[in-house]
Amino acid sequence: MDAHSLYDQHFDDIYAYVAYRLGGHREAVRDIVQEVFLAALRRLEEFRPDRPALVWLRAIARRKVADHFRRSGRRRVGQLGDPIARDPGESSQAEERALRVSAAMDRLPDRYAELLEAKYLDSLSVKQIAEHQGETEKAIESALHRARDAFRDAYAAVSRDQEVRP
Amino acid sequence: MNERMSDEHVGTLLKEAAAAFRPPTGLKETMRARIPGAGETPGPVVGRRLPVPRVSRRALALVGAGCLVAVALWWFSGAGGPTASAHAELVQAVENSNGAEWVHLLKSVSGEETVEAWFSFTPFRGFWRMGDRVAHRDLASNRLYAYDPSSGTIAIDYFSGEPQVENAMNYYDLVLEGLDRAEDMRKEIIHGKTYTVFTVTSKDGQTGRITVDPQVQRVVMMQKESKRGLVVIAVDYPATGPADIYDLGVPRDARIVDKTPPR
Repeated sequence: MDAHSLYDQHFDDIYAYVAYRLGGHREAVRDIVQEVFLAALRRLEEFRPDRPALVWLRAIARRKVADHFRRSGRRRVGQLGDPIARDPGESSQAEERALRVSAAMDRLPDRYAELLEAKYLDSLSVKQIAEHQGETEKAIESALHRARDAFRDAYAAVSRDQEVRP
Repeated sequence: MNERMSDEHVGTLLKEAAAAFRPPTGLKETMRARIPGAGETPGPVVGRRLPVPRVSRRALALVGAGCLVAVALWWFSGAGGPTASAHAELVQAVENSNGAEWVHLLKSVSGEETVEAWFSFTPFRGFWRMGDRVAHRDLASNRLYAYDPSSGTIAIDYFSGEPQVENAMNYYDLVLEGLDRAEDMRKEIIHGKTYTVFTVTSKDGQTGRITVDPQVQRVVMMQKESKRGLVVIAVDYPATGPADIYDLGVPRDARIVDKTPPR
């Protein structure tokens, strides 16, 4: 896959992913999406054609988002009960829900968040995740179970926080 | 939230969340020009010399010093030198690169982005962004505009000496600095697209790579090892660039300190 196809096919997906992780902050999202594709081009040689390009790009995006949070020195959206950043009237219901999911994910330990994204966004099998992380399938299954439980609790908490907010 | 959501619902929520936001209209196209290899780039300039404004001749001699690659290669094309076709391709690529309206460069060292720069050749203008620091050199007015985020000021001054690209972006330096010879020129297929990759060796024995997109015959990437790690400069050729330093994020209310002496 060349840079042109990579960009054309996955721009929308990467934008959506970064926006969801950043809570929709448009300026930052734009900058990071650009960084993702620039980084992807620089590392094009690392891309393995036997793996989905979107998974690879999303991994780069994940690192860029983490870098962004580290650089900006601010907490992630929703962490420790932060109000979810949004422009009233601009967000669709789907975006509102996405922000709650993002906030919930931010409350999880990084390992859990990564596992859930690997499983549900990257659509990797337990076996693939286990191979990638050098662990047994049983260990991954068990960790995924805990991650899902933690997500449910976090999502419920975020939703509760929103309900009581004026 | 009284009901406990199923495993499937967890997955659905995540998938929907990661697809909920759509990019603003036009962003994809705007950004495309900034992504090397992702955009429509002008075709190669073949068989004509580009107009060079008087004011930019000297600048082009420096900033556009990539043309000297050709000279360097001629001089150093002894043992292990490039073939005639390799030489011709590199010359053409660098000339075409210099012929762009705008050149946009992104330099990283060991994967960390350090400097971003834009050059316009007609008229010659250069913009640099290093972290929060932004600078603009306008050769038409011989002025330097430098934004210092720590003081929140934009200093305007005449710049002395030659308009060097210096540490702002050693795009051409990478090619020229210590270049000894081009060891190799080969086609590399990277994910279905063919690039021409030149391996060059510096006088101190370090090697670098110059990657040329043969479709547009322009340099798209340069790489070399340095003491600080792998230096990578990605190059693209957008149709437009910044109009002024405010386009690069300098606050509109930054205080202006005009240091230009009366002439």
